[in-house]
This record gives sequence, C-alpha cells and structure tokens, in this order.
Amino acid sequence: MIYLLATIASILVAAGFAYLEIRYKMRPARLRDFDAIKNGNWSTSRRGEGNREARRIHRARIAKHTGFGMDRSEAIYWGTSVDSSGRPLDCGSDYVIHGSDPDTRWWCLSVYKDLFFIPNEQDRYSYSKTDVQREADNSWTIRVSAKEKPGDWIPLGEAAGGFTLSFRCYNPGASMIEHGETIELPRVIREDRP
Amino acid sequence: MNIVLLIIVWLVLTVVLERVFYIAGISGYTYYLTDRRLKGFPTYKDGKNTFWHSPLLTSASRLVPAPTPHALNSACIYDVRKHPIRLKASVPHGVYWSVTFFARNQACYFTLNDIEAQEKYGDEVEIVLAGSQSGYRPQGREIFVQAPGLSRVGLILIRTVVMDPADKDNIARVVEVQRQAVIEPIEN
Repeated sequence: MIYLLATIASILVAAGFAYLEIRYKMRPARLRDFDAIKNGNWSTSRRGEGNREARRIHRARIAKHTGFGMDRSEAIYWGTSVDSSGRPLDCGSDYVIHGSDPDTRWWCLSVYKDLFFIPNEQDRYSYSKTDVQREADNSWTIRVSAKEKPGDWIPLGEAAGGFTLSFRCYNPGASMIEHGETIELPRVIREDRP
Repeated sequence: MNIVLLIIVWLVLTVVLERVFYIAGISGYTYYLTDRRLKGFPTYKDGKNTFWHSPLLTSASRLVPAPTPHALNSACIYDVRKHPIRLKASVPHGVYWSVTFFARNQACYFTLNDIEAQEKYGDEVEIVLAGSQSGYRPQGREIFVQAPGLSRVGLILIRTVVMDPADKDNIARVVEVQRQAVIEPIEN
C-alpha cells in the first residue's frame, strides 16, 4: 500500500512541477530569453524561428506568441521592447531610430502593440530598406511617436502603454548569421519632450 | 528497504517523471496551439489544398500575430493524408519571394526563395508534397518534398514582399503573380 501511495504521489508531484515549468517558460516576457542572441537592446532566436532543431520550448513559444517563422538562413527576426538605454518602449514617448543597412538582402522595421499593428490614420506600420529616406551617408532615421513628425514617421495612434519593435532581415549575410552579437543594429533613442 | 534509499528512489523517479511529463506536455501543447491557429484560417474547414491570397495586412488583421506589413501572403492548409499535392507557382522578379512548408510543431521543413528558384528552376516552380509513406516518384523538374509523419496536415506559406506599400503599380503586378499560385491534387 505504501508503495502505491508513494507512486501516486510521485506522479502528482512530477505532473505539478512539469505544469509549473511549462507555465513559467511560456510567459510572453520569456519569449526571447532562452537560447537567444543578444545585441544591445535587440535579441533574436539563436537557432531561428522555424528551425527544425529548435528546442521544444522555443517552438511552443513561437506557436503561442507569433507563429510560422523561417529558419535563420532565410530570415532573422530581431525584436525589442526597450530602447537603447534599456527603458521600456512606451506609447507616451517619442523615439528616434537611427541606423544603416545591415548585411542583409532586405530589412523591415515595424511597430507592434500586443503583437498586432497599431491603428493609425496613415496605415503606416513600418519602413523598409526600399522605402526609407536616406541621408547623404546612406544612413536613415525613422521616428516613432503619437505626434506627427517630419520625415519617415510611424504613428502610434491612440495606443497607450508599451509597444515592441521588430527588425526583420530577409536573406541575412554571413556576418549577421555568424556575428549577430556584434553587428551594428539600429539605435532606439527616446526623445525627451519639452 | 532502507528508508533513505526509498526516499532517493522516490526522488529519482519523480524527477524522471517530471521530465517525461514536461517533454510530452510541451510537445503536445505546441501541436495544440498550431492546430488551433490553422483552424483560424478561412480555408481550414472547406478549402484544404487551396490557396487563400491575403491582401496587404492592416491593423484590423488578426489571423497571425506579428505579421509582416510589407508581405502579400498566400496561405494553404495542406492535407496529404489521402494523396500527394502539386504546387505550381510563378516566381516574381525584383522582390523577395519564398515558399515555406510548416509542420504542426512549427518547424519549417522546406524553404525555397526567389533567388534559389530562379537559379535552379526558372520562373515557374512545381513542388510535389506527399506523406512520409508515399511511394510517389517525382517527374521532370518537380521538386519532391515529404511531410513529417505527424504533419500530413500543415501549412504552406508563400511570402511576396512588396518593397514599397505606396507603389500601387508594383503591388498590382505582384498581386497578379501571387494569384498564379495553385495547388492541384495528384490522384492515382
């Protein structure tokens, strides 16, 4: 009898801990924490969103929070929810994102709130390598703000609270694939309002 | 039996069981979440093995989280449980284009982009997708792909990037190419 009770207790305890572990690892805040490449405020999956060898927990998080990403050789998805100083991105602030083209065939910088586009009159949710305006040195600047800004501007509409940035790079070059931790990625600077 | 030994055995058994439950749970949960997402596609119930061509996505789009704002997507819930299928698509020039096959555990098990396609196959591609037990023999220039055993139902996604969403002429040209993608069954 004691052995039966001990076995039942073992099963219940094991199932309980497994459930808690899954719940903890599936939290949205943990989406890019495991097996991630970090570069300043940006991070991305080390093995790629759709990689067949990706860890089970990573694929489960992708299934829950995004879905159907490609392998790193095809696309690298950088994401951040903080600015370059580490402060959480907030719809009540104005941001200047400054960068130059990384080693990739095409890139696209887009803004999300709760993983979806933020409604705005302009229907503008992103800029890309091919439609961004450039400086003389080929660098570019994108502004993210609820208030209208000159140049390339992604409006935050009426949204409140936090938001996220995604920097998708299609057909990344060798330097991005092999040296993701050290390549130059866009800087996200919060502007202080007067 | 010594009580200390019993406790050690109990702890080891519990740890092993926890890992088994964890792996089974996280794997099953991934399949469940992906199936739930696939069921949200307009063609899931009555239109398997047909493409659903999406326009450029807006803030009203809720089908897939974190969508690509510059992409025209063509999505197909494939089903190769009864017979293989053949995908025919035109490969556009001057834009990023790719066709990807996704398993029910989110693994992307086949990818072909425009550069590879044009180098190897030209402006038209034919891809045959079959179940893992299929005896189908590819013919001519067909690309033959076998779906993983647990993913005889899954997702085919063609992404065509519109370089500038404001360039209506270019979008119209890309849409024309996008809609040439078709799936046809391969009956015995």
